[in-house]
Amino acid sequence: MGVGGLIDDARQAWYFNASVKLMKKRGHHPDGTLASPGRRRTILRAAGLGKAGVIGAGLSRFGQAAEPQSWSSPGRGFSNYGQPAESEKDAIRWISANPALPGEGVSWTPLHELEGTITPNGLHFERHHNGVPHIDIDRWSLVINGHSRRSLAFTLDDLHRYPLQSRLTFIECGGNSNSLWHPQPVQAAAGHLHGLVSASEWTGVPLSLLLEEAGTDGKTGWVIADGLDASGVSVSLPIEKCMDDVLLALYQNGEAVRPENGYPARLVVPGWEGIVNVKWLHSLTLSREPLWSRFDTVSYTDLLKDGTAERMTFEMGVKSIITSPSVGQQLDSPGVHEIRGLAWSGAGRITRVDVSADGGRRWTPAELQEPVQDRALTRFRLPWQWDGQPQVLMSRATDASRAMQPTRDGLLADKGGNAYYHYNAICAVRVERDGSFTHVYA
Amino acid sequence: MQFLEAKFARCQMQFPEGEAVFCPTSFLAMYSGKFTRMLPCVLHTAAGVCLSLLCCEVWAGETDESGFTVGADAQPFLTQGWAGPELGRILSESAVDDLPRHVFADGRGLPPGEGNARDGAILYAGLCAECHGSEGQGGRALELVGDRSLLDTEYPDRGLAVFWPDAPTLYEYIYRAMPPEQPASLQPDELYAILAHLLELNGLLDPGVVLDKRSLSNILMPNRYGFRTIKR
Repeated sequence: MGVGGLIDDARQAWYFNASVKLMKKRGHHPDGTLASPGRRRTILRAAGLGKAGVIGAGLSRFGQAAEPQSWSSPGRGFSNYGQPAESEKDAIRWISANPALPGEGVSWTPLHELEGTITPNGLHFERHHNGVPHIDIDRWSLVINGHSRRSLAFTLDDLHRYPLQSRLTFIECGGNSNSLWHPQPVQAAAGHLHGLVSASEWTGVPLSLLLEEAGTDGKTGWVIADGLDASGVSVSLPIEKCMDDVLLALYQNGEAVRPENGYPARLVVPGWEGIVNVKWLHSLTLSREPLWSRFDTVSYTDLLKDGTAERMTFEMGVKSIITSPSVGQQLDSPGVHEIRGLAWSGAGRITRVDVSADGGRRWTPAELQEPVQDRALTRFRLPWQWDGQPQVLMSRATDASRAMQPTRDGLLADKGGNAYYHYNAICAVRVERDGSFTHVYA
Repeated sequence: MQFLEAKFARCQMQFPEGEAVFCPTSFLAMYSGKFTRMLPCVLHTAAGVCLSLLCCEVWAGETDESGFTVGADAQPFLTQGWAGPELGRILSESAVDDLPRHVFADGRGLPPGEGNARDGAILYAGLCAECHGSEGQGGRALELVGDRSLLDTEYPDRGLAVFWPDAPTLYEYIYRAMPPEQPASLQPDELYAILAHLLELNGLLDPGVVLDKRSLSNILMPNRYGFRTIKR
């Protein structure tokens, strides 16, 4: 074999790898043989066969001479804590902070860069009111006091000896997606509009055990939870919820809770708005009445069109978004593309997600990724044939309580335009002829 | 008891598990949840009368008060709900008193102290005006003076005097969170003075009135009854 042959083979290998990468990025499997449900496979084959045929022709001599370059020298060594691939620079939190007060603001989970249903710990959204506190764990303890039989303190070592429970659940800021209350649609990537929701497997002590140890009486109606951050967050939670399914979380996706997510211990209140999932937990005060703190009344409350406001909404409504394809992404050709998205509800499991490609006139059920779990993020997918013409894509979720995601018009008719929090309306993106996307209100 | 243990030991020797005969009584005993394993009924055929229930009791053991099994085959595991190790350390009353205060909406928890709007205006100018505006408006932070009649319009105010339902809550929030560069640093007299200034600016406190725990608790904020509580 001459030198020319070697070069040809190397080039073939490069093309093969590049094509596979490209096709994977587009959601195709290179040879169309990936096991998948019948309808989907059919569509993929129809779209992918031509390319697969070309690639297959180059494979007869593959492996004889053109070894991958990485075979020729040892790879990089081990690392104490792994980092994402260098080429994955876009999968980062987008920070939107108060210029005068850098610890006040949010950072958004890049939902449009992620797949599956678990948020990597370094990408869990942040909402801080005045920065991430430094906590000396040797001096930290959790206090339970107020209308309890006795006042107790637990060190971190104490808490680690209690029975632990794990549960996969989402946490969503009550203000997530709030730019969509704006009269004009904001053009930003899905994660930069809706990325104040993240999901983790949280592990911790059931709060009911600690509250029972301190002792509640029949008149204890509320638990006032205080955080250690420099805004002195304090929220009131109904005792029934605390005794039901609230966790004092010590672990997040298997490792200790990250500092920006509440280290060393935080509340995880399944299905309820982010603010009550108090981070850097310091004390739980049993009370007959709510505190009606700033965070119970002024913030995270919905101003209605008659000038009154709703407070203690707590439960996050049923919601879904398409994460791909969406604003900021580009389709390079008509054909089959997989629509991918996330659905969740504070009321329970997602039971179905419908997708529309004609602005909500007709709906088709998407495939839900199993296992679908109670108050967790649920991944949905549906192959979509794009004909190169403008189309409006939407997704609409339904949950186990039979609540269906409202239309934007429906939400506005219900709440008016000033609610600011708890936005869960159906979202729409329009694909243009050039393959780009814009957010639209449809 | 000794009689039963002896009986049980003999049964075990005579009837290995493989030769067990299904016995409704022992099945029911296990199903009732009192016994952890089905006992091969060893006496059913031998005596013609089913005594396996008694054997079960010896063999499987009983559960003691803490939930552990006792008896011949007891294992060091809790198979029922565990309430935890109960490691909470009792806090003394003085330690509880040292905890950060809660100021409830009705004023419970407000500390002693007092202040007036004249002193408050000076403190406000130095500590607050940069972000909230010299007259409580037009700054980059929350508006402290607003127009309540705008609440049901397209551009509502959600500022202090317009939206906050309870005056004592202002004390707690401002104490804990303001000024943001140095939270929890203001003394009660300073806080009462700043609040007197703000409430006077909003027409909620008569000029010259000294603000303290009692007068702050007595202020009826315009939006006191503007909220509906969902709580679900």
